[in-house]
Amino acid sequence: MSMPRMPEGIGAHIRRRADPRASNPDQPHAVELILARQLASGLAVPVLLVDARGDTLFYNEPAEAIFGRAFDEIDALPFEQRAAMLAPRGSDGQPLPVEQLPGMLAMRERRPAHAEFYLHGLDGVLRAIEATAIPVESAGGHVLGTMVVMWEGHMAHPE
Amino acid sequence: MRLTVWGSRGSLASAGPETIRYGGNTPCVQIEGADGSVLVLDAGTGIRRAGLALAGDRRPIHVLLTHLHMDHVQGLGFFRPLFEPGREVHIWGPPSTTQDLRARLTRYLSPPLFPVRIRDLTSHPELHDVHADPWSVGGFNITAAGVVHPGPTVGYRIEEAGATIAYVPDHEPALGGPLSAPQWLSGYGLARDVDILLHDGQYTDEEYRQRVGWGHSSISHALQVADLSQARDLVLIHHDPDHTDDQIDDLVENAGRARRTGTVRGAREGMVLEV
Repeated sequence: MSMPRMPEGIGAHIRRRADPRASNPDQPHAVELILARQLASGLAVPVLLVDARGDTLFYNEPAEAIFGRAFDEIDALPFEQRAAMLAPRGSDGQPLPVEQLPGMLAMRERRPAHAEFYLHGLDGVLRAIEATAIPVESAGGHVLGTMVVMWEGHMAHPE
Repeated sequence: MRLTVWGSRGSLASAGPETIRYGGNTPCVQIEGADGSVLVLDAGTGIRRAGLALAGDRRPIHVLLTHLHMDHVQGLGFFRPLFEPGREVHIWGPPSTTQDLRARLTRYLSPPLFPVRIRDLTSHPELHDVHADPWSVGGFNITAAGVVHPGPTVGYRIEEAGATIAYVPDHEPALGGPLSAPQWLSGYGLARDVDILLHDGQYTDEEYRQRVGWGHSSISHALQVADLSQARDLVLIHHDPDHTDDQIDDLVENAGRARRTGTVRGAREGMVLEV
């Protein structure tokens, strides 16, 4: 199954501590991610769930307004197209390196992270976003992924 | 491998004439490998009799705990090999980010709940957190993975010479969402394609509706897990303490009719399974 994925390389330092089972795409998800997905699916705030490699595992129905596409529809788009369309930008309007996104910060530094930025939805609309990410770790201390809660932000449009 | 069920009851030991056939002791299953290696799954009250069977025998013993709820550890202090000087005993349990296994087990194995402390066990058992990757004990290849149940809880998948069993006695997969996509099914990686799946079968559908979040399966859920995982032989374990032998007979018979492929049995004390 193909899903959006962060560009290669950004999780290199994370992988040392990532759940070793995450390296096998045929493996079922860890129970912490299963429960996080179920929680997200029942929440009214937009939530994105990403695994330790940067792959999008799930986003809930409220997040569809931010990403501009229903989660079940995104598999039809190739990764390159999705990455190009999402193209995050910082508050100055300049391209934002993905390693500075809160989800990646949360996994790398193993702490909550918050940021304001712009994101192109898959419908082509640029939106101001606020996002808070928390790392999802197993009881064994492995980084399994991150749960990102998002809001539409209030920054002025950069264009 | 050869499995012996020493305890099949869930939640609370429940001895009485109405539970005499399936048994009243809480979970404990012994597994013996072709090379004589011994695993003991959980330390419910059933482990006392397992200990009598293993006493005086010099083989190392690996006790694999799924979690530390009382019905899974209460028999530990009555496990005879733990009191045999020089006996090699390893106790494995789920990891925690807050306290190690010794500290967590000490909550029970110390006064005022129990008169004997872990440090007083004359076998001086070694305690281990389960590994994230599979590991070997004798001829067994063991995999542990977290499953949906309150608190840190794992299930086990054990393989030996092409035979495979999974042990998931406490499991509420329905809390993880619809039981449909295997990749998102708690316990799937353990149960996939096993010869025998020992799985939580505590509740009827009606009982489950009143006990959502308590950490257990309805028998319907156990069937769905077994079917999705393509487990060949489903052995229901962790019987509700209020279920009588006759009720369990009926539940198992109905479950057998509902199973799409494969068989269904009810775990009972003294049951021996060969794989």
